[in-house]
Amino acid sequence: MSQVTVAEPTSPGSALIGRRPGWSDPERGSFLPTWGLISTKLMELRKRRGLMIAVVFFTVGAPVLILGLRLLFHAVDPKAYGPAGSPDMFNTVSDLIGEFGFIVAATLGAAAGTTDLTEGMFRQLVITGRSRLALFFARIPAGMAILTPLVAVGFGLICLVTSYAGIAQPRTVNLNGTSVPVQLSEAQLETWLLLHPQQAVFVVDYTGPFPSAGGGAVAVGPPSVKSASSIATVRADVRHQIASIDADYASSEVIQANPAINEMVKAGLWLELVVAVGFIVGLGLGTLTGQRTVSTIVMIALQLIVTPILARNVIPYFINGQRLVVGVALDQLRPMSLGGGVVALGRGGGGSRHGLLAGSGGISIPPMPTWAMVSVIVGWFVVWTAVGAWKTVRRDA
Amino acid sequence: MSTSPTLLEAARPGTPGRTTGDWAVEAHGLCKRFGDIVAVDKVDLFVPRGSAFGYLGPNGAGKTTLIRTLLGLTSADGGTMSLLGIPVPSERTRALARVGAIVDEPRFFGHLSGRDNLRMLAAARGCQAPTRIEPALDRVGLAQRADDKVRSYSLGMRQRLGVASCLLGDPELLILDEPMNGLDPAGMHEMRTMIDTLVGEGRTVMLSSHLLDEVERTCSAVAIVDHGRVVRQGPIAELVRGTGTASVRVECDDPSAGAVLLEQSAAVTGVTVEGPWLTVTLPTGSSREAVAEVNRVLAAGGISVYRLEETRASLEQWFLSVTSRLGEK
Repeated sequence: MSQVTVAEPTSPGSALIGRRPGWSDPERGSFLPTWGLISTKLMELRKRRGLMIAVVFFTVGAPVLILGLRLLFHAVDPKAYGPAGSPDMFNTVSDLIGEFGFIVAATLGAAAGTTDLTEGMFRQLVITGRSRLALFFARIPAGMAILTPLVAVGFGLICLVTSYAGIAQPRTVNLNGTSVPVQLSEAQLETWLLLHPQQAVFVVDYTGPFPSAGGGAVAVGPPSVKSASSIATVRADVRHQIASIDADYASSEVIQANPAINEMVKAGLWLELVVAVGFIVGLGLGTLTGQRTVSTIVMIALQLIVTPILARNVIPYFINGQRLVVGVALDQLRPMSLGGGVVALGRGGGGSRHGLLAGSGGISIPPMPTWAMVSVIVGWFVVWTAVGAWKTVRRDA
Repeated sequence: MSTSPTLLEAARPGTPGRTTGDWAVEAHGLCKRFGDIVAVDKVDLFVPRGSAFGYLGPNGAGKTTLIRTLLGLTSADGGTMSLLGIPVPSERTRALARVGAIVDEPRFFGHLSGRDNLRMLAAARGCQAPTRIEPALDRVGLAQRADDKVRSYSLGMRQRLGVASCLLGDPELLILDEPMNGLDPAGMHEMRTMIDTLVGEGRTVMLSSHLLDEVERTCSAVAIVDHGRVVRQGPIAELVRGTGTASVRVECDDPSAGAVLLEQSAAVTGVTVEGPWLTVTLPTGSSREAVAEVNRVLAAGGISVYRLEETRASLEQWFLSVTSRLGEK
């Protein structure tokens, strides 16, 4: 259809043509959301009181409550209640943020993806002529602007309590009854064990001959390592078994020693990643279905039922399918300070020894390479963002 | 039912003096189907700029679907259209920058205040829209309640907030879908006044409604839609005069004698006597000269005529005559 510009002086409608600046604002057609779009969407989400109470409670309130009570109980009865900043408490409360943070993030995402539609504002927003993609993409920074600082505050409180109200940092870790210095790398641990065969024999599965206890009975427990041959056997065992020894060492270290600052940072980043995944998947699913309740229930079922079942049970011929579940990939990325990389595989399961990409958490299926974990997580981000964007563009308003 | 070729032809861009840019809304052969149901059936629509235009039809006639299609809220299955001379959907963003619209009942975030809802819409519009929030609230009379949550608003207040949202873009074209719905008489009067003012400012208002009386009071031109098709469109006065049955009421000293005289006249198709009044039916499409002829016949017959008034079909009568609803009743 051709456009013919008419400047008809007698037509009152024509008098308006061209008098307003900004009619051809190029931003309006751009898929990139403006600051105004993001900030007003943030305002809309922030003013949902019930939702915000839930989000704040599970990211900040619950840690404050648990740690506060523990501080109080410990002050009243220190023998019965350990310090609030113990490694165990760090692990437990951080896990709480991870589990419930994912769910509230998904709920927030589902709300961000559906409320425009269910409350009739989507139509009004589309009528403004703003790009539908920009309307969708504005939801992502708006939602993350709520979640990211709250998780940071909640986890920061845990770190503060761990740092200032925790146990004294031990110099050694008890490994099968043997005291081993803390914070050794795998190579350092191997070196230390090779230099201390008398202690190492308690740590390895000893493969050498056991001295007779008389009457043909076999002695119980590790032998006394005195001969050159038995020392050589222990050292050979250390070299062969260092990976599994290192896993046990890391487990003991997590339980007995406070996490180092860099481990805390990794744990915090991992928690942010978990809530980001929860938000994006909830947003995409909510936008696709247009139904907030259904999306939220599906996300809760995914996190609390489907993922644990798939992570803890090996289904023959479907292992690669199990690995495609984002919760499984996230669990394998779990940092050591939160119990990752130490239960099934050892810390060297794909990344550096003290790295974030340290291998499997408490899951039973064989691990996947680091690139595969990252691919699965990135894939979930991309696919659910694309699904949400596509549906926003295609939906009848 | 056939369309009126005369009126449609007069409205088409090909007509001398008319170009594409003259039309605030222009549609050619617009179609929209929902499965087997044809909601919009090859609609040709021409809304002149700077006027109040009624889009009139019974419930379920396809009014809202056409508006949603024009605004790009749903895709068309066929045809071409433009808003303010800008083709849509290909240049939808540019076209809608100059359009404000309320489709169906205006709905907003109930947990936000009226002002916050307008902030969201202004942010989406961009440019100078945020600076127009306060003037728009003032204009629709919501400034005092702007900080109250929308969930506490009456339907009438939400309609006014809807109009305020339309004004954020300082629009040249406003498309209002059933804007009188839910309004009390005072609210309807306010809305009518507001529409008059907007048209007076040079804006075009396209008003969809099934309230014939309101359209007749508010609009200068109208399109009648029935079963998804536009069956008539043009200025209301011309439409009613051109297609309705014209009649003349005459007060005279001897109605019976007058009736006998008029029945013999070729300019008259029927005469009835009602007390001192004669109701004289004229042929469809008669000019004003036919009324003068009635007077001449009576005067020539020596009958004193005290009063002679032309009666015309109301928009309602005409609407019922051109849509299928009369037959259904």
